[in-house]
Amino acid sequence: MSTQTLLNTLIAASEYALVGLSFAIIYVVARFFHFTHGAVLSSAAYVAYTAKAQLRLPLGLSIVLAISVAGLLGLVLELGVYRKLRRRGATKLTLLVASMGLYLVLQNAISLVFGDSVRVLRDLSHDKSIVFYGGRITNIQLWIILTTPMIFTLAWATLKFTRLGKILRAVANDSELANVVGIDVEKVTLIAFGVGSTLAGLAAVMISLNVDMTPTMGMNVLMMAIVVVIIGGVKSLRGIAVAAMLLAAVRHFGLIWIGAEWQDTTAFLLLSAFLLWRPQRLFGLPLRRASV
Amino acid sequence: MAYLEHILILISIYTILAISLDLLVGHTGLLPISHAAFYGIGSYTSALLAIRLGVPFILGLLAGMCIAGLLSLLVSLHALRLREDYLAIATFSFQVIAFSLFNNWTRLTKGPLGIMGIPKPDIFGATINSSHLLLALSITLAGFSYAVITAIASSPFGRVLHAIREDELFAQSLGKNTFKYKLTAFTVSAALAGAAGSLYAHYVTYIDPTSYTVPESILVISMVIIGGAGSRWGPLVGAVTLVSIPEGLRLVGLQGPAAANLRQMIYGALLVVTIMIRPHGLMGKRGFRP
Amino acid sequence: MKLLKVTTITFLTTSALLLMGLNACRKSAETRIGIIVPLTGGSADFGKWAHNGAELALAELNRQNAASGKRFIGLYEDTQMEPKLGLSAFKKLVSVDEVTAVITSGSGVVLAIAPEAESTHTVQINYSAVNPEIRKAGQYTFTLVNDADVEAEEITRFAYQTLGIREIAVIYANASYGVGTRDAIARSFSRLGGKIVGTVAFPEDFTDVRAQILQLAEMKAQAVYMVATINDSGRLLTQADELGFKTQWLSYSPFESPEVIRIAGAAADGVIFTSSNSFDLTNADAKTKQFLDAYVAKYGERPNLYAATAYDAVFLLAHAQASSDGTREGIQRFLASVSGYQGASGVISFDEDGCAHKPVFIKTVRDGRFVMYGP
Repeated sequence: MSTQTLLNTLIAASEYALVGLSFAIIYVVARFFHFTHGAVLSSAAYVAYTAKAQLRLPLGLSIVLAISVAGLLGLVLELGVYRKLRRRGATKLTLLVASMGLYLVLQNAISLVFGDSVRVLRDLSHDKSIVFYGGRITNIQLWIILTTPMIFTLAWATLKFTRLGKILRAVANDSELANVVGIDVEKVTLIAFGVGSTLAGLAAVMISLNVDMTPTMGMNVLMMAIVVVIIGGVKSLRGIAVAAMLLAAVRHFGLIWIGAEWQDTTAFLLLSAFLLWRPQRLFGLPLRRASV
Repeated sequence: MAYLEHILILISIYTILAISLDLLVGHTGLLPISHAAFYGIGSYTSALLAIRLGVPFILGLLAGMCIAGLLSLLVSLHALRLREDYLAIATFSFQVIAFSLFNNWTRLTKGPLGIMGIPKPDIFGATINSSHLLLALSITLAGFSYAVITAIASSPFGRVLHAIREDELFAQSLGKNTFKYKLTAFTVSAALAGAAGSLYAHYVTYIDPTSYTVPESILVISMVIIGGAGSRWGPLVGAVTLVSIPEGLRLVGLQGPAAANLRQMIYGALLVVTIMIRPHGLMGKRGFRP
Repeated sequence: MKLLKVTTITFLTTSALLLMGLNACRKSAETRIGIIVPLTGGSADFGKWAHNGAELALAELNRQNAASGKRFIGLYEDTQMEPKLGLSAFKKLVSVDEVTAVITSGSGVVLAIAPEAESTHTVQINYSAVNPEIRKAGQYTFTLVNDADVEAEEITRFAYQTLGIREIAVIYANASYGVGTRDAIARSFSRLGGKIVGTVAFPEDFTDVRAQILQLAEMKAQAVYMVATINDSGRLLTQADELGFKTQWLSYSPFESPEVIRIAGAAADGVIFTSSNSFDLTNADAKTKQFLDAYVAKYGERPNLYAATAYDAVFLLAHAQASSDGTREGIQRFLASVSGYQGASGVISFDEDGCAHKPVFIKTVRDGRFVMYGP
């Protein structure tokens, strides 16, 4: 069943990478761990569910709606909370704690409205598997594996060639200097939240079409995405992709030696090991405190 | 009456957790998300010693504190070198791993089945069964923890911690080995969390991994921040507030499927509102920011 | 801001005392039953059935007793399946609300409450937890469902003798019910001479268990026993189906829930499981039928076993109170002697450990419906 494991690894890696990218876009610009992203992810899935199952809209429209709401949510969070906090001199930690509080509010709101049972977005009749060299993959899974590199390429091209991309990179590298040069850092932050959250919406919808949704699905995948982003390096697309493959491989192939109950442990041991031994700089921002 | 005493005992336990965490959050400016892990280590150590080896409560408590303090070095030695938000992530990792060990190292902890039949606390042979005495014990321990942390905070050691909180680079330039100070504070904090764990285990007489999770760590952080990080009475007020909320909801009759979600939402909302409107918390001094 | 703190604390304490006082002044013609269930969290669907079943029972009791003015009230407390919350809930219900008895679920919760139940002489009727340790929980703890060992014996015997299966694998949720049931299955099947070729754990409320399913496939067992919540069972079967993994699935009572079919669709067909649910028997007794009809009429969907046991628990407590001196000890004595009580969930008799023995049926899923196993 090695082909199957490989396929599963690819699917998982794509999910981690996509969510990781959505998170990284926000992180490099805003410079703090925006945990509420987990709730943004879940919200998108539930919007799609509401649109399709309750309002009976067609799947395509539901998806578009979900993605838009996700993007909007990101903008609201930035404008309504983070920007205000930053203006008052909030530190990264303060913003982190605020994002945790916001996550609690949003995720529980979803649980309150929809309950904690699994909600199904896909049409049960739809998903037949395609057999592929001894492994099976469903339509949506194929979509996930194909879309991810496309999005990454798009991101790479945008960052490298467009004006917006250059501005984003400038802010990510050194926001004070960018400010001095005349870039409106606040506006760029807003754009980052918008883009990152929209991408999260897309990822969430695809994931929920694959494995259905629960209110905590967003945080579940975000946890792995954060591991991926930190190991891979926040500013490196290549790093995120590689780290995603690495983590997915460890989780899937690792089952040969370790029981499934240790999956989370292995993921976080990996992260800890990385933080312990390679914290200076890896494709990205410095992790250690400057010391005398 | 018994119910009120039960609530006060819980408040005492959380006070110990909150004040010990505040040493790091309020006084040193760190944000570890691993406090529940040490809470759990204390619980399990004490419980297992009592059940497997018949170790009396006080010794179990001390053992819990020592083991928690020792194991905290596993995370502090590497996490404290990291930048503040990465410290949060590193301690978060430790918390997840700790929970996983509680849940999966079944030979030791019986995993999800939990440990039942933990004896009530005994002091020099006399078992403490009545809720009045248990309350007295809890308040004593809470008071003791408070005294310890307050003493540290107002000592020269505490002053260095404050300096680290304000500007670590500057403190280092004055010749202070900030790493050692942070390490010591972290160990003390973990040990006290272990004490709280021991008390909890012997009070509830049944423990399982679900009490020692990331949400639990976040709950204690919330208590500290909402109460007022770094302030004298902040952690106590925070503990009282957050323990009272679900119980208050119960009393008001707000139950049914919505209750627990509502409770979490209130925690979250309080946290955000506190940070936005009154960042120094309910009891903090104006001008201080966590 | 000491003023703020002092005010807050005074306010909270006063309101607490006030409400406690108000509660205590309630009419004594009221019988209050505490219902401690998971109403939120990953096991929330579990609690919903109990809530519905209990509400149905309470409504009927109140109708029956309308003339005498006796009222029955259910007070719900959420536990999220967490023992410490369950304990808090129990203490509050007993000392503040002065409930006559409680109905509980969740092995961890039941075990945590047990010592308190013993010391306060308050009966707890467990309507769903199956951990065999509960047998030793004391005389004030009663269980309305078969424990894991009983169900394990039935299914393993069925698999071994009727289906001729000699090797099974177990996939289970990494939680107390999962581990407990896994062990029960291992014990029973080995005693019969069968072999457990492997066990695989998965985290509750998972996203993706494909890796685990692949592991199962490697084991090449003749059947796979699944221990999972309703949510998790549904998704597990879906994902197995997508991977093309085919096996004889075996499971236990909680499986029998309409939600599973809703989530898994056709992937749920063919699962064989044990159930104490006699709803589908064509010769089901009157009480069960009556419950079934009433439930469907009120809620628009079929109930599952736990709605029935919660319903029975409420009625049992009402009977206990009416037929004894009404004290807590009296209720305990009455319940301990219950034998042959006709409930919605079947015939109930408590053994010396306070456990009921229900007949176990072997059922399966056919075309999206739960039916008895058989031609």
